[in-house]
Amino acid sequence: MLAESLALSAVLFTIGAIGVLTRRNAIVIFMCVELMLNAVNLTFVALSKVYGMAGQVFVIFVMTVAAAEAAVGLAIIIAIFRHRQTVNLENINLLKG
Amino acid sequence: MPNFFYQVHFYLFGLIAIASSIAFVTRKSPVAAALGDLRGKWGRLAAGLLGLALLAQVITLAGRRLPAPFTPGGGYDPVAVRDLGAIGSVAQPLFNEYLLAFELTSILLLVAIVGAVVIGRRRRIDAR
Repeated sequence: MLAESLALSAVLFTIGAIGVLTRRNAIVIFMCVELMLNAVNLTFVALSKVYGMAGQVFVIFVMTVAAAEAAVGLAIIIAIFRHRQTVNLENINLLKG
Repeated sequence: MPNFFYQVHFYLFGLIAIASSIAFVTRKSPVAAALGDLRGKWGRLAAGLLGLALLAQVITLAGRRLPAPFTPGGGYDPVAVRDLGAIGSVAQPLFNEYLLAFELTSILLLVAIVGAVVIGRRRRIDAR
């Protein structure tokens, strides 16, 4: 069961990483980041069966940080959309050096 | 094994709820396009029948023998799990060893909520 959980976690993390690297829509990238965080959560829970309860406690912290990130990130995306009328990152290059 | 069926049904209900809300909010969604007009008489009838079938399935599964009680793995302290239960043994380190981290995350959440409201609010043109 541990091996299957870790394999699923690796698959989810890979999908998230590929999404972050290849997609240009801010909301899709955001969802992919959440997918990566959840893959890490799955790893924590799976390994907590071997290494103790701390993994499950850390999952709660990761979910809290993910919630905070989602709140602020979505607010930033909304603000950018109001300003630029798009969430495509190809068109958002204000911070480009 | 019944545990697996419970989980599948919970996810199925969740997916149906999401698909229904997407289909009702926008007719341009692929779900609505695939299912046709869900607001019509036949759509409602099909949704009702599907809901009843799923409900009957859940009731049938609920009547079956429950899965075996929680058995902790090698990493858990079996005495603590037996005395505190599955939830209590997570809460025990959370509110003792990691209490400071717990409090810090509560502050982080509060700051994030305030920040989200500040960033996301619509500014008036005449406001300074």
